[in-house]
Amino acid sequence: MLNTEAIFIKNQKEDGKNSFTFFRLDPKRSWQLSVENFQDPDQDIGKGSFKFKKILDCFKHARDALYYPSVYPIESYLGLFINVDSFLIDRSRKLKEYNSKLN
Amino acid sequence: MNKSFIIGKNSEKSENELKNHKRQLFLNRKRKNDSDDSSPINSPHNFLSYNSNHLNSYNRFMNNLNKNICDEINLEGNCIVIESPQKLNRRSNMMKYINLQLEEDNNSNGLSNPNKPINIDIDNESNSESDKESTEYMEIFKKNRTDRMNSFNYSKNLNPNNMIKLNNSNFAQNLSNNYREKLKRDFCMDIPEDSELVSSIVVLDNKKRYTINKNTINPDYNSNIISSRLQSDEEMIDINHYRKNPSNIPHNKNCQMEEDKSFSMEASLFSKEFIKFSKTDGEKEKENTEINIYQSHSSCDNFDNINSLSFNFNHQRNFFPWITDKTKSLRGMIKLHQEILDFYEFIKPTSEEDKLRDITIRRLKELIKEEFPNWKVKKFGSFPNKIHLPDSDVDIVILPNHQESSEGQLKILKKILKKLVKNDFVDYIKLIEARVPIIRATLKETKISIDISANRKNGYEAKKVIKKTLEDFPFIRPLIYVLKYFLRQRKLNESYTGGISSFLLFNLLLSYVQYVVKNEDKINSETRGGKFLSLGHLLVGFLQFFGFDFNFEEIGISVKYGGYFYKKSERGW
Repeated sequence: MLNTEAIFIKNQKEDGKNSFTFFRLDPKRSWQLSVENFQDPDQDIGKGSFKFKKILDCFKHARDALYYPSVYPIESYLGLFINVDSFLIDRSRKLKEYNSKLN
Repeated sequence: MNKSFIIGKNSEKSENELKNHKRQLFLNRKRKNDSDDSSPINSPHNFLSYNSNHLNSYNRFMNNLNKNICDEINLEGNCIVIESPQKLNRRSNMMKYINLQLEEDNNSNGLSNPNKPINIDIDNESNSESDKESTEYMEIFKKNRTDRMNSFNYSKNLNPNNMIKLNNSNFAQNLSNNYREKLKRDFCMDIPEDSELVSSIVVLDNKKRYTINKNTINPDYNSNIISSRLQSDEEMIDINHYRKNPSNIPHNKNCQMEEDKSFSMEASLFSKEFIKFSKTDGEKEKENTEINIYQSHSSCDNFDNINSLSFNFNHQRNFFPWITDKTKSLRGMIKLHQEILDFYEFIKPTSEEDKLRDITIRRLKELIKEEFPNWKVKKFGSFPNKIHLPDSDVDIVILPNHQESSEGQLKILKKILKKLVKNDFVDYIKLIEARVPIIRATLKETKISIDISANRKNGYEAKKVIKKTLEDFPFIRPLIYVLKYFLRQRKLNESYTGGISSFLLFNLLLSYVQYVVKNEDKINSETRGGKFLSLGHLLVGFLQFFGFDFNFEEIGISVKYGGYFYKKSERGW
């Protein structure tokens, strides 16, 4: 697999023949998030998030899920991108108990 | 006489079924009369029905569809049959397109029609605005399909009640004689000229087949509208066989399948077992519609509403624990806004849970102060600012009273570790010797996880700034909860695994809010006068801004001085 994050290919024609050459990408042009720390301007907080491309994909997915409407009535919009998992079900049970105690 | 059928598949009802069907329709009408809702939208009969006066507009609609989306399309009687929509990325997009077209045609031609159903929508009270929007939307759609942000606002009009609001009338009267002959020849169906036909839309994929039938619609709209069936290659061959010999058509099989409401469109997409069920007959199908999705160790075993691990897909689709009864009745952006608030109320820790945390932290403080009497113990991060999830960890920092810090960070942490282990205070403890050394521990009684760091003022001082900004922009808090949980489900929640910490997420959200405040006029003109007052707008805008628009390659973000952006190359980052 070609490492497309660090390398790109250039196609040049020399004497009617194609020749491919590999170049290394400028590291400054990488897909890294950079956020300035508002306390000391020399620090970059976003440097550590090396999975940032994945996070962007998640944002795209969420936006797409909200954008595309469906034929059947949408019961919940957040349910389009937040799955009902065991934590949420546990949480609803806890809240029920908590409310019954209060009453 | 009412009759339902699907083109392409042989189906004819026996007498008993017709009787049942009639009875259903009668009951529906009765229900409609009882509820005293004079608006025709509430009745299931008007859901998918055409006006005969709009035949010309239908032809236009078909031509448009042909050009833009589909390879082939036919108008056959009361059905729209769309074949091989290969250019589409998603099915729902096409459905939306169809609905829009129908709506537009109806608006342009049917204004003088007294039978036209009234448009009940929370967002647009006057019809003229919706007309404008629909036409504008179509232009945008034709020009640039990728420009989805603008078209998103239109989705508020796409209620199931509004979707296809064409009048029912005698569409069958305008059926051509050719078509009747065709039906007789191919499917051996007799259609009397005075019959009022039930309309349906059929979409044929390569192998899948989706139908929307009037029969399958419940008056409540809460259950599934769509019944779907998978059609394998073998079945297709069978149909050809039946066409040649119409006497071989089995009557009872297909009708049952179409009226069975327990099958949803989603079910066919992600379960292979569904294919098997669609081929079996009779009572076995009803037994087997309950399928296990959850793994055996999932925690919904004891949940009250779900009796067992097996359940219908319908039940699962409609179950969202955070949503309240009020928001269920809402639609569009208002619903999204209300839902975000509901989610916030649902997932934010209760006062009891916070008290437990406070007590455990107090005990920890006492323990540490025995070892270091001259040092301060402070909490920082998400917990004191109240943007924490109920099971997220607490950050604690140890600071010297005066600025003399003679001892190194590692030494201090090692002493604390020994102290905690001696007193049997923790279940699990580990010292991580990174650039910033940290103790990670889970407490024994309450099972709360804790991060302890020493002699670092950074996070503690940021606490005050975050508190101030959360007071200025209180709507950031519910948004943080939604996004945080969304990222947590994908395991991108914590910074040491490469994800976004809550502090970073706060920075991103704040910078977007600052951007919106600065460029309010510009954004409003782009989205046709939409107001960015609701949480829903902010959420979608945030996802759009950072997911698609922002240039991360060259530009960095800063929250200082009301928010600004800088070039990465200037800083050397």
